[in-house]
Amino acid sequence: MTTKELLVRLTAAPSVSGAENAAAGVIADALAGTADLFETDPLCNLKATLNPDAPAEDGLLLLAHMDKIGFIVTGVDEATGFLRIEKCGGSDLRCAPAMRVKVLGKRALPGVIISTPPHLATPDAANKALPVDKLGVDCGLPYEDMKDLVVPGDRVMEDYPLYELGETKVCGPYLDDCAGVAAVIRAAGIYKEKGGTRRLECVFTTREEVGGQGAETASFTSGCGAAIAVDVSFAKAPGVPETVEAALGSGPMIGCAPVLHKDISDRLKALAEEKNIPYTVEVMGRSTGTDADDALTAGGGKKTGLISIPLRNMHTPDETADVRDIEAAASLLAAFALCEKEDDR
Amino acid sequence: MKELMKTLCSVDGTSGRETRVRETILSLIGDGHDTRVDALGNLIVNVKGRERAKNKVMLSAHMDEVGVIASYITGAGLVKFTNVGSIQPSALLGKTVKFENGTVGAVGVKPVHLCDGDERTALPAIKDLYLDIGAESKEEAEKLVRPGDTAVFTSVWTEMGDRVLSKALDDRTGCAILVDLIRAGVKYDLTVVFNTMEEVGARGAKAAAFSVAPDYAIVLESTTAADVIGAPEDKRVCLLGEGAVINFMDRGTVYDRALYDKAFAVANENGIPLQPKTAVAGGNDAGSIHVSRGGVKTVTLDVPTRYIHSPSSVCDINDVKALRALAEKLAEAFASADE
Repeated sequence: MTTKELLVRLTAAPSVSGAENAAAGVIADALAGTADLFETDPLCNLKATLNPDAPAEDGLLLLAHMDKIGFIVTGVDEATGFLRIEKCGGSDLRCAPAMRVKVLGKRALPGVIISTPPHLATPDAANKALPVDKLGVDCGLPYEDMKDLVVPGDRVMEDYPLYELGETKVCGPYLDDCAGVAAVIRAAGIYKEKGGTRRLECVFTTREEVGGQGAETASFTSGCGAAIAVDVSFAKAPGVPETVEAALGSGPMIGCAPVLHKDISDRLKALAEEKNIPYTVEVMGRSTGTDADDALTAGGGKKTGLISIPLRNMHTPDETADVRDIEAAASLLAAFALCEKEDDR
Repeated sequence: MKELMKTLCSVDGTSGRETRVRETILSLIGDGHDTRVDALGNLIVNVKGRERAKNKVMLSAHMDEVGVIASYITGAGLVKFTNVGSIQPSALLGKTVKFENGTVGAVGVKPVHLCDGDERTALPAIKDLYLDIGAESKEEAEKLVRPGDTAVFTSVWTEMGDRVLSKALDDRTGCAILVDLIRAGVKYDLTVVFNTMEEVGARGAKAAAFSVAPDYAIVLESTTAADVIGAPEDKRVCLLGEGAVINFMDRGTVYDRALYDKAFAVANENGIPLQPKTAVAGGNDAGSIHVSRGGVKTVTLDVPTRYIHSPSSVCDINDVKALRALAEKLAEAFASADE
């Protein structure tokens, strides 16, 4: 399976925060034959371990979140049959009008988020995104049908194909963090192929988009002394600060932040240089806003690093990433995991 | 009818670029018709009826859909564009468009995480938007897209019970009805016109109406239905599932009262649901047609359509069937009228 094909499967799997089981299934399939042990925990994190008999303290924990932003149903409108919704994660509501969605009710229902016709917009609201309580999902069915098919708490996901932009880029919802998930899956494959002997725990976390509870508990359970979170971050684009160095295609971003362990950041940079893997450095002044923040303080604490895939249009249906960056991130992660001695890390 | 609509909505053609739509229509109606394509790309079909008409009746729908046109390629390989036809910025944000050569463009937006305060909810103007086509330089981009190239919304045809969701329902629905009428055969001779450039000022219709010179015109359109959650009752314009729609006045035309009444009478006689468009808004080809030559008696009938001019419009197949039935009966009434 090519990385693009893997991304198509991952992005299509329903896994809005707190309801990630379908994505866990797709990931487990992709890692069948690579991982030796699959486990889940009470928060539904999926852990795929290579070399589970090797000591945990020498092992490496990789984290990528498998949950996706979306919406959660709060009610069915009796007059119209439309669904009332609340945000489940940080969807960019400027993009919500006329957005294609899939409602994950008793069965999956196609739907669309309403787009207010211009004549209904008050002058001061005309150029502003509507708040979520003024939105609704139209599934084309009357209340009598909808009330039996959808209940409050059901999730709503963005529903678009993954488009190819040029030779190497892909565009669609949920590359955050399917790009990271794909990088970890690919890294595990390389590690296995190269005969890595240490314990490698690949944890696909839940609930990152609503607070990182999955990473918090999964990292507590993991005995690995070191952890690397794999997520997406802002790539150069109009509106993004000029200080952002990463562009689509410039390779993974290696995180440097007070909360991240300098040895890990330095080792990642050295390995990238040594293996001729393109990279940029992403500097953050405090925490990272990723699963890394939760991993580093879990249990007695872990040496933690962060790798990010450059992404445009984050939290919109137009998220755009470069497959070359995902593959380069996988190579870098595998190289890090393959370092024989702790001192080499 | 759904199949015809799906076929026609799946073809791309914004204003001035209707060739593929026209070719699809020509292949759908088949050989054996008296057809003509004029200088503006309008397709004019003289349909032979089983009987001769007393009056010349023209039925029309427009082939073009709203879209975007590339205006400039930046040094970074991004495509600046403007809209073709009226589009709200929110319908473009976070969406993708497809150029005629298949190149996909993503409408970029500054990540909301990097926006402060009011910027988080402010909708940028279309002039500030750009398309990302995956190119990393001007040279690379120009191999895929040149200024003047047009694109339309990407969209996947979707059926939701009796409702269908697609781009371009405005006005491929009207085109589908006319294709179906031609294929089924008509009682009286009539002229069917598939117009170009409606979305940029009803220009095709102006030329076609002049050369057809009809006594009566019936325009088949899609019109805004605002029967959505939270909409005040009096602002809904028209309702899905309540039948065809008829305009009494819009921004382009004040309609003939006798014809308006006649449409309701014909609908009643034939048990066809018909509702008035309860807002004076929008405009369509009737604006050009009714002032053609010495004047043409004109009616506009519509399919109520939600989220019009977006990638995801929704209409009800029962309303489409009602409009088809009414268009045929009203055309017969006009064709056989004594004056």
